Parts: sequence; C-alpha cells; structure tokens
Amino acid sequence: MTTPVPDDTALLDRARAGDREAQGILISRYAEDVYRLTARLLSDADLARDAAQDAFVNVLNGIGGFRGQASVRTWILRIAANAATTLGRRRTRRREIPLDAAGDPADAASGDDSAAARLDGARLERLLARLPEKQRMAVVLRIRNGLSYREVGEVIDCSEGSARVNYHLGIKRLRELAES
Amino acid sequence: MNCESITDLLPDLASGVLDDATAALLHAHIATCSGCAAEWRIVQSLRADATALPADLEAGIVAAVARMPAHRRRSHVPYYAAAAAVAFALFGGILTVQRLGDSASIARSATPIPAAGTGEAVFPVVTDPLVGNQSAVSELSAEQLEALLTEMDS
Repeated sequence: MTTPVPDDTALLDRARAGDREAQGILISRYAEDVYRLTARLLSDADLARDAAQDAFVNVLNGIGGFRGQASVRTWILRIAANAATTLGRRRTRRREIPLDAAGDPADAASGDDSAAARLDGARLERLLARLPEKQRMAVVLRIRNGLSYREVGEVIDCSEGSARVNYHLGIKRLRELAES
Repeated sequence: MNCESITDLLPDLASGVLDDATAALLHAHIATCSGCAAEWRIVQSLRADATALPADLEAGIVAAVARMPAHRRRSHVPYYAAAAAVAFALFGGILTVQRLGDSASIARSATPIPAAGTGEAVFPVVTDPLVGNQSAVSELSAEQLEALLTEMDS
C-alpha cells in the first residue's frame, strides 16, 4: 500500500506546527522550482543557491501568515523572487560565475539544428539581466517556471493583465537586444 | 491562428503542455512567420535546461533551515494573534470610552457593504480590460505597452 502524497495545504499545516518531515517534503517539492527562478534572476550559481536557502528560511518564518490568498507554489516563488532581489541588490562588484557558457555540448555534438538556432545561453543571461525587474521576472516565471499570467501576477504582485504586459515587454526587449 | 494568439502560447508550447493539434498549428505558423520564429528561438533558449542543479541544493536548504532556532521553525502566529486580539480589545475599549460622546463612528468596517434591500454583501469589482482582451496585448508596440503599464499601475 503506497503512502498518499500530502497536498500543499496539508503540508503547510504540518510544517506550520514544526513537523520536520513535512518541512523536508516542502523543500524537496519546490527546491528545483525555486532554484530555477533564483538562478535566472541572479546569473550567479553561488548567489542563486544562497537565495534558495534564504527563500525557504523565509517561507518557514512566514508560514503562519499564509492565508491561502494564492497557491502555495506562487507564494513560495514570490518569497524566492524577493530573496533573489535582496541578494542581487546587496551584491558587490564581483565576477559572475556563468551558469552555462556554451550551451549543451551534446546538442553541438549531435548537430541538432534546433539547438544551433537558439541563442547562446551566456549571452541570453546577459540580455536578461538588462531587463527591468518585473519584466525579467515575468519572462522567467512564464517561460522557465511555466506559470500562467495570473500566477505570474501573484508572484510579482500585479494584476494578470499587468503580468501579461510585463511579459510581452520583456520578450520584445530581449528580441531587440538579441537582434541588435 | 494569428500572431497575437501564437506569442501568448509559445511558453506553453515550449513546456509541452499543449495538445498535438494545437502544437502542430503553432509550428506551422512559426515556419512561415519570421517574427514569431524569432520569439520562439528566445523562448526555447530560455526554456532550455542550461542551468545545472547543484548536487547539494536540497541538503544545503535543509541545513539552512536546521540552523534556524527551534522556536522559529514553528509558527507562533496563534500566540501573536491572541496577544494582538487582547491588545486590540483593550485599545478599542479605551477609545470607545473616550469617544462615546462623539457621534462620529470610529469603527472602520472591513466587511463588504450590504446592498440596500437585499442584505447581501456587495464587493467592489475591478475589471481589468486586458484580461478580457487577450489578443490585443502582443500586437502593441513597446511604447504602447509601456504607456499601458503606467496607466494600469497608477
């Protein structure tokens, strides 16, 4: 007989009460999602990892204040985005550690046409860093984390319509920068 | 399908969540439209799993959480809420005694206003014109989008 997987609400209730197992499941469930976001926002592997850790500490600190006004996932991602923003602002001039300098070697080796047509990963990271914060977040959350516009709005604290506008502005700007 | 519909769905196409028929329609359009093809390349590049997960990601997070003081790993909101309720009641009681002679109400209700006659609550409804007009956004220029965003955020 398999153990039923607890849903997010049940997990939060248990984690709120100090259940270490529930906290571990929550971390396991969202660590990758959080890191994907912080990595794209910070373009620095060490900072992204620190931001992910800060995010979960803040999640557990603030867990009592979660009222179900958003989904657990968007609530956690919002905290992660704030953690990344905080670390990004504290960042002193330091050499960025590229997360991906040359794309996937396997694609190049296999002669994958679709990979060759894509933008270089490192260049795209640099272009992404030039977008205003909300546009960058909207683009990353929509494309990298797969959120709907409504969910993007919950994370970056704006309406669904504004989230859509921020996304399209960001994509247009990225396209202009890439083609220039 | 037109470009407006296409650009909204490109992230979903990259995620693989679209049904086969819709995905085929999008690919057929992308093959004939340079603008949408350029945006598709950007979406694919951002979607590509170029960011390797640190091997110790979860362990590092668990360790960071474990370093939190034990009492902070549990929510104390119930206790704070009770304390706040007592403080509010005392404060509210003091204000009420002081203002009993004042005809103006000091109560600020956070509840919705009952509609006249029906007794049912009426919440103010804010409509976002863009939510109901999905296809219009992507065809706006950057300047128009900026202006729209300024108007929406004001």
